[in-house]
Amino acid sequence: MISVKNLVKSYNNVPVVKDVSFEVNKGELVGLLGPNGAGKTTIMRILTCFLNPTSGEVNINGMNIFDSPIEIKKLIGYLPEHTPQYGDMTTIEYLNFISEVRGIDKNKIKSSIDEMIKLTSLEDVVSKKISELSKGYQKRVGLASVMIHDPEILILDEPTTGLDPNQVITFRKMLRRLSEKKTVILSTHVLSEIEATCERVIIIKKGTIVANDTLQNLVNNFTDEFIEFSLKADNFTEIDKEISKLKGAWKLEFMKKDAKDIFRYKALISKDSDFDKNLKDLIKEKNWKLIDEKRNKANLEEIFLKLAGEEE
Amino acid sequence: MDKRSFFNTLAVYKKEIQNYFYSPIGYVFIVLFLFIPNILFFFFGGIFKENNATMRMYFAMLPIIYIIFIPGLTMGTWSKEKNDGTLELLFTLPLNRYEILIGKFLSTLTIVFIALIATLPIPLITHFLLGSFDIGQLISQYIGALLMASCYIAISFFISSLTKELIVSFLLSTSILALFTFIGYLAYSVKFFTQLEWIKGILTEISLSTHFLNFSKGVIDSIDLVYYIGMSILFFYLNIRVLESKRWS
Repeated sequence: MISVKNLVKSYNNVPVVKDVSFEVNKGELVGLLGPNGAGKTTIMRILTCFLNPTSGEVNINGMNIFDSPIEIKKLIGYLPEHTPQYGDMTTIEYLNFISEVRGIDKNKIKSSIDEMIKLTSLEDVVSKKISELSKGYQKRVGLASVMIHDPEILILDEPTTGLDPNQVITFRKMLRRLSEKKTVILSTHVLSEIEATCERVIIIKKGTIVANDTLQNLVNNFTDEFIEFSLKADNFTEIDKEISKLKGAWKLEFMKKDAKDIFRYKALISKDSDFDKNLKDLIKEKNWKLIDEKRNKANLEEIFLKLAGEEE
Repeated sequence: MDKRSFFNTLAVYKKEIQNYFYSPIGYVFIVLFLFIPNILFFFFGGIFKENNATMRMYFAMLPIIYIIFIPGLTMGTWSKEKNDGTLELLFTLPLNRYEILIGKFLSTLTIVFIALIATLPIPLITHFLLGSFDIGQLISQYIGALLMASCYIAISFFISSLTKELIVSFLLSTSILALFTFIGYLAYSVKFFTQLEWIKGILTEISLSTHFLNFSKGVIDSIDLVYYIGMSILFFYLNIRVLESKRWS
């Protein structure tokens, strides 16, 4: 089990992770979701003992990251962002090096490597230099290298960037299969990644956790709605100016022109917002015509936007 | 060092040796190391003028050769790992910092050792041309050359840990090694220093090159052993400290 308590990390006195606490239970597959620069990588680097926190406590299987870094590193397979590798080595040499450092029994190294090569379909590039491989293959070499010692915990930083859509699907299948036996933490700034793989999501914004729940609960508990409406009016410049001044929506955007004089908008509002009333008043005042209006419960994408996106 | 540590160090060592020979660095180093000093040796070293079967002139040039060649070999040790992001990989594997450091150090020392061994034909040829060689002196010279190399490697490793830039790492190492090497020569040649015994003493003691003089004469003095080993350990220690501090930065 991974337990993080009041974690703070500052670089030159600028905090990038601010008082973060969470737990990940054995066998869980948790996604760290947040825009770039939210602090996901920093948190992962602390969990993997690459960085020390400025303050706070991290325990993995009851071991403290300060007291037993080596023991903790043995439990973890960590794939850093951008998958750094020794480009001069061939795939097989690299996997050999990792196996040796991971202390895999000499007699089992070959079979472990073969198994990983099969799992990540690396058969064609076994004796090629890593620097000559495509991004997708490099990622797969990275994945093979972090799983070779059959770690209890996998920590994957942006594991699918650089993979093509087919590889992403294969990767997700693999991940779901693995997560039956392993604890997995993966980070991403792509929501669909989480939707496709994770049971629980921790949304991070500017170094703090803004949500930590299962996807189902997030959707259920989130009462915001979005309104899609179209207006008939003569002058787009005027309408756009007036609409953008309306109060009560935390996100408002022009979607498209339905016809020459019909304009479609989308607004995200919280449940008790008076946006609807404001809109109706404005329409009356300006003598426009409301063509249609649809209200919908916000979906995951909008939840993410609200929680982690930049305010506008 | 327990068994696990030994195998960890060995794994890093193998990886580093592979890297030296996969890139041109290893070959270029060995070939130039042989080629350049030999030219200098035969044309300017005056082995035939001295008419004496000795490698002393050859070894006298060694500190200067190290100033350029060793930083060339070591500039990437940490800088390249940082630049490529592989440092994160290395430091999140279950390895101690010192296992990584020793593995890297021994691999670099091996390259220097191979280059030094490759110079052996010179004494052998001169042996046939000019008569018998003092084997004892030769062994002492090679031991000294390796110990001195350790020290140069330790210093340039440390400097490599300070920067991401390969060129900065190289230039800084060369400059600092040059300084530590030449203060020894200065102590002997500049009138100002030669007149002040105590300054001369200090400069001689801290210089990287002067401690090699005894070795090249065939004398193994404990002071010189202590100096080279001590300096190496000091810079290894500083190196580890720099690497550790990165975790806090």
